[in-house]
Amino acid sequence: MSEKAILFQEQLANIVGSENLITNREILERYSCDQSFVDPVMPLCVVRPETAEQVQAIIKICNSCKIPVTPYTTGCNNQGAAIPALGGIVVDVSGLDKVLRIDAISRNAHVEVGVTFEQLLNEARKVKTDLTPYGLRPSAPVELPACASVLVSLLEYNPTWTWSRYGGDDNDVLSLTRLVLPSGEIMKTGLATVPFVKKPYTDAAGVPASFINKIFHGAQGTFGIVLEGWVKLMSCQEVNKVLFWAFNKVEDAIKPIREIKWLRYGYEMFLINRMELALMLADKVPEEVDKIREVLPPWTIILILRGRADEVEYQEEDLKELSSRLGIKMLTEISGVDTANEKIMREVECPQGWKKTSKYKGARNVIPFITPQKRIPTFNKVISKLTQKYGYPTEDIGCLAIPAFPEPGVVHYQYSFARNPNNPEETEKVKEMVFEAYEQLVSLGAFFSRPYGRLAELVYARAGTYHSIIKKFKQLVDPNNIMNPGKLLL
Amino acid sequence: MPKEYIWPRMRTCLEDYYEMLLRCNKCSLCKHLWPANTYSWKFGYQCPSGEEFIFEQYYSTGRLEMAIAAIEERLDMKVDDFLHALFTCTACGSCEATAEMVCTLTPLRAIEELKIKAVEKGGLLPEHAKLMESCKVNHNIYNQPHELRFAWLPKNMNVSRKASVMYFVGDTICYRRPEIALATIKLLRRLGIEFGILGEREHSCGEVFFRTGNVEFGRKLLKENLEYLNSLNVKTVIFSDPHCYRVFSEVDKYNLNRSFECVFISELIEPLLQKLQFKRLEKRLTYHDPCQLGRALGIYEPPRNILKSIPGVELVEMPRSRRLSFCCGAGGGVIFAYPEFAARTARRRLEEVTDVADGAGAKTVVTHCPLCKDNLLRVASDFNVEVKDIMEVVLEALT
Amino acid sequence: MPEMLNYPNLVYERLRDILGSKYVSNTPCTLVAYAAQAHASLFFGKERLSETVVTPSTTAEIQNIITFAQRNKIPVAIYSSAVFAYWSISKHGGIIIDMKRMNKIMNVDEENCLATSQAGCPLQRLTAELLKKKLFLNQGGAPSSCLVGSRFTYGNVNKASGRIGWEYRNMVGWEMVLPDGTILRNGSRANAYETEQFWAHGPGPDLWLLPRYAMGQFGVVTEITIRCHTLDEEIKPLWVSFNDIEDAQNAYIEFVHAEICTGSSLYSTFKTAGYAADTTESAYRITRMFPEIHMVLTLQGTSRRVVWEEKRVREIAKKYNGRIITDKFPPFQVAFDSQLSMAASIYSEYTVKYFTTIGSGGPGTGLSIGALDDIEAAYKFVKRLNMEQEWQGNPNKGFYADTCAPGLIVYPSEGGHYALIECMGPGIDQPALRKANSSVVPAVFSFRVETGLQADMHGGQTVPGRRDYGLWPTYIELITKFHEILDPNNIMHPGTLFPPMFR
Repeated sequence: MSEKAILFQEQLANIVGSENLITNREILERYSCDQSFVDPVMPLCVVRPETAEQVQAIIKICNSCKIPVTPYTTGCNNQGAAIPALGGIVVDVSGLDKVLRIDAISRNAHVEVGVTFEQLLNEARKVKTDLTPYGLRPSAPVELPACASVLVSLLEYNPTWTWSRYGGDDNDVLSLTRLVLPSGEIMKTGLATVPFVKKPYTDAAGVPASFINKIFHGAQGTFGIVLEGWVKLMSCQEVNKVLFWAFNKVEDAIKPIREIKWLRYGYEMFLINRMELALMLADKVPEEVDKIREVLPPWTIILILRGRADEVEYQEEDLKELSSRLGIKMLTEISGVDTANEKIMREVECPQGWKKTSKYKGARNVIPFITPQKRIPTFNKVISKLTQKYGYPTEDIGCLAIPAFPEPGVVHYQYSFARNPNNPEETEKVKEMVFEAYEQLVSLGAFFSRPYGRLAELVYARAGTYHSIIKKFKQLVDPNNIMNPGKLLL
Repeated sequence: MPKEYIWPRMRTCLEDYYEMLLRCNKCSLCKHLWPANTYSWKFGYQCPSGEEFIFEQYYSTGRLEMAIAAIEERLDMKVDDFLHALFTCTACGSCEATAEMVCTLTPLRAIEELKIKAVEKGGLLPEHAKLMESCKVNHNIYNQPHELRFAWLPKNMNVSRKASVMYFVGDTICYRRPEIALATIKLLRRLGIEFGILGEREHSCGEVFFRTGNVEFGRKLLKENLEYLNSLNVKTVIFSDPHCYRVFSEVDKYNLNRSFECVFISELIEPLLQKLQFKRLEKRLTYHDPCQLGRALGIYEPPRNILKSIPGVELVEMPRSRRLSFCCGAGGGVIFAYPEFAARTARRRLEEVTDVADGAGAKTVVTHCPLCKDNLLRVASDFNVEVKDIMEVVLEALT
Repeated sequence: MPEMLNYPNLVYERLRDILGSKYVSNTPCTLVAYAAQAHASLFFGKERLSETVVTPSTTAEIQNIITFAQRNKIPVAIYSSAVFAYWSISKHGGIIIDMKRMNKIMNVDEENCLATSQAGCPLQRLTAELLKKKLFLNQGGAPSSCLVGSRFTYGNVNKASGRIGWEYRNMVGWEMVLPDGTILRNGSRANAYETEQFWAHGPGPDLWLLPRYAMGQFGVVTEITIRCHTLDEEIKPLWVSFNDIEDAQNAYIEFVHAEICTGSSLYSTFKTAGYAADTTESAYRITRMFPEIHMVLTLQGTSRRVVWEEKRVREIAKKYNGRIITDKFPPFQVAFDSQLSMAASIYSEYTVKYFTTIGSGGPGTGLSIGALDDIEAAYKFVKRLNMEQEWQGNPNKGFYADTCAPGLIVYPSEGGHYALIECMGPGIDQPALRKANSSVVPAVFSFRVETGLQADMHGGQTVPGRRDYGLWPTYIELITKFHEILDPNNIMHPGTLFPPMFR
């Protein structure tokens, strides 16, 4: 290591303490990669600050030395966002993990960046008042495990299971009360910008030029490090009931989804194929998956009703009537799978996410995008052809669609592919298949709103003007380009 | 300039509207059709001059600003752009119908005061000056010989020149649309109503001058007609031109007196329908509410009731009907000063008559105003549409 | 506009080459007609008039205009519906772009419940087309004569906000011409090959709110895509009335937590009376006759849903001493009708009435953003403010001496995580208001600081001439610098969002 590097690390150690400066190669390797196809890169070191001031000091030094900084919380992204693409250091802020306040009346929580969904769920459930007799909970993420950072996941527009009810278009982050810019300055967004506001519960009202409150969303840490913010919670309910509709073809499910959504019932709603559902329902992955998959229908719509007993009752009646009108059968359980309902409930409230599902073969790669649901059959055909081309077993493809608005039509859709990471040949094959899938899906109109890794090139090749604007902003806030460089082509 | 509130009925000049003008907060509801009654994008507008010229001063919002600027002497009222913006207002009243209801503003009345002020300051538009000259020489606005006023009356039809019920025909019917008068006369006879006409003593009613800022001259003409009619001890005067009917109904506004009652022909006929025998008339038609009859005088249903009483008639309404009716484009002296603009407005109206998806989808439009009929007829052939006055339809249906 | 009426000069001629003479005007009348708006005299006076007004009809024309203006450093202001908005006035001369001709509807996508139109389409015309397909849009508390583009980029709330979010939340995408003349689209249409706008965010960092609260200083929105919502088989309005603000607040909080009903707002009687009454006096009479506060609700859905939700509402009403007074309530028929038709926000038309005759500009907290439990504090403050102050020659003084009833509107965000709280005293005339300002403004300022209620009008308090409550310095610095990057010559509506002290 050069003298400069040693000096640099000493400076870091002075800030965070030597116990929070990690140079152990084994540990560094864990920060250098994930299950995505983003090339692994070893960081110089990892620092674990415990306060916002430490984070500021670290960033300032890195800025003056022009050393890249990659923010890291829980590493649950699994799509390459936290891999230090150009080296430098990794700032692991998971130590800032306090739930600062929960406002039961407005149902909002003030959390630090290291707070996980599971942690917040446990805290929020304890908030039992007359208004919230069953407690509160955050909206749980799709694909990510409950040990993911609440703030980071929501900032990245990671879909949540309740998108169908609340919509994914104005995510659950209300304001950021502490964000460290690449210059080391503290920035606030939303109503937190106004010093005397005690309840900064919105990011798009009460302050001019609202864009700046949103531009940090979806930025993959390239504009700064988020440390604290307010997020929404929802009320837990007395009765929770899972309903199912089974289909042989995805085309048959499109109209029923529309009709069911027209009623605006339920909290969580999704369309899932048998592979993905089997992964969800299996207690032991991979042992139980294949067996469960065999008894499942090819496609299932799942809707979870929550509310008072009489509320759930009338909604169920309406849905039964609707099902009868559509000529489809509404089920309250999945035959052949015990306790399926409880398992689904658990997954949508405190998910195990990819940490469980990737055990099927050891690694998992997803292709998530936004699309009008009418395009799904076309995309499925494309994927099917690709799997044939690359010899990937079609039955192993997982598919999941989450309606993205309360109104019918647009969905978050994702494909998942399992692979054995210890099999280089298989990995290479899946990688090529996924990359080719990216290209074909992009050209057919799949919208990758979160362009991780290789996708950034494909997406921004078609969105030049948009990229030029965010690049201008990047140059403004981070002229030395130290924040997570290499992501988003920035 | 004091900004006191003056009760609407006490406002006698433009300056009295100042406080009201300042209260306009540009809500722009006057520009578009009343939202609850907008049924399509296509026919969602209501201001003829705004739709044509687009700029703000061609809507009442902009004209009110011009009025404020005029009162504050910030704007020269003699220049062409001012006159063009002001006198392209057809005085249809759709802006006032909205504004009065929503926020107690009366933009049309303010605009008319502005026209008076503009005429005071800069004189009449040349085209409007010609109308005045024509009246001075020939007692009509069409510059036609006075002696031809009743040339349309068949020689074998004797109509008295004096009766307790008189029929005031009007310039436009006499010189442009005499078929309306003929139909009216025949109908009155069929109903057994004894009536007379003024003959050569009938002069222009002067309505167009009231709408174009030349109130004094209009008043002079109206007075002439009133004096003559008063002298005849007439009980009732019948009108089939809403413009004439309006000015005679509003004599109080001009400090004039009349000793007779005014009645509009369809209001007269409606209660007498059972006396008439109709043959079946297979016609699908729509009714265009004239601005001066509908919005200005509140007569919407009698013409409709008459049409509906004719067997075989299918009356379909246009989306913009009754109080929301769209102007034909001729009023406010516009047909004289800006005939191409008037024709284009007529086109817009006929689009609504004929449009199948969003309009009435009719091939025949019936109206109750000679000026509306005249203006619509100018472009009717392009739409393959028949334009009739209601009297003609009734006459056609009589056995 | 006949060409001969205009005054030839270089700017006029160049713009005429772009648009055609019919759509360019620089006559004195034009400039006067575009120089004034509501509240202008309160805040800006009539400053320097613009020099030329243009009415383009396509994005390409707007591009050409802005490119020309940028090259010649000519200020450009955008004039949309200009309702209540004092920021459409050109304060530094230059060109005004009137959006009236940009009024086409591009597409109504029934399947995805999305509608795309040019930014100048009036809400009322778009609504008419949507109603044909049993859809409605989330129109805020403003007349239907407002234009879609400015309404949805600026817009806040309407009576259905509790379920379908604020207006801007319903904006899925836009197309903008930036100050340098390039066209920017967000979300799915950032992809140059994508023709459908179905997602608002990304790709990557989210520029979704670029036009919001920017007053046209970041560019001109030329097209916009908004979410539409489905009209149900059964719609029923319900009014729950309270005599006490504390009861009303608590009931409202519980109601919002229940996440029921489509229409869900809180109104005071005085506010609602203003929609129906023609004079201030008749508004006071109505206010004295009826309970003070109402939950104004619209139940919408299947018949089972409406029955159940009504039962739930009645439970909440009973718990907090509320009464469902009656279904038909003559003075409020206008607002009632609007609840029945979620689409034609009829009451919004009457927004104009109370604004004009009664005057919602009385001393109060104005439009504020707060939490639901801030309602009581705001209401009691405004009551105290108006009862304690002595307005010289104020005809309302008597009324306030014994029955002060502020005008209150509360609209929650979706799920009630925050709310817009508007609380104003009775309207008094402008001279009295100006006189009152010297004592009202400091009192309101102290109240805001004490309770933490931020004003929402005009995106906060950064309008020149108004008291600046201060924002986080880095925030101001970043938005100012970003503006400098996008518009180095500061031609887009200069002096509006960024007051002289900033730019």
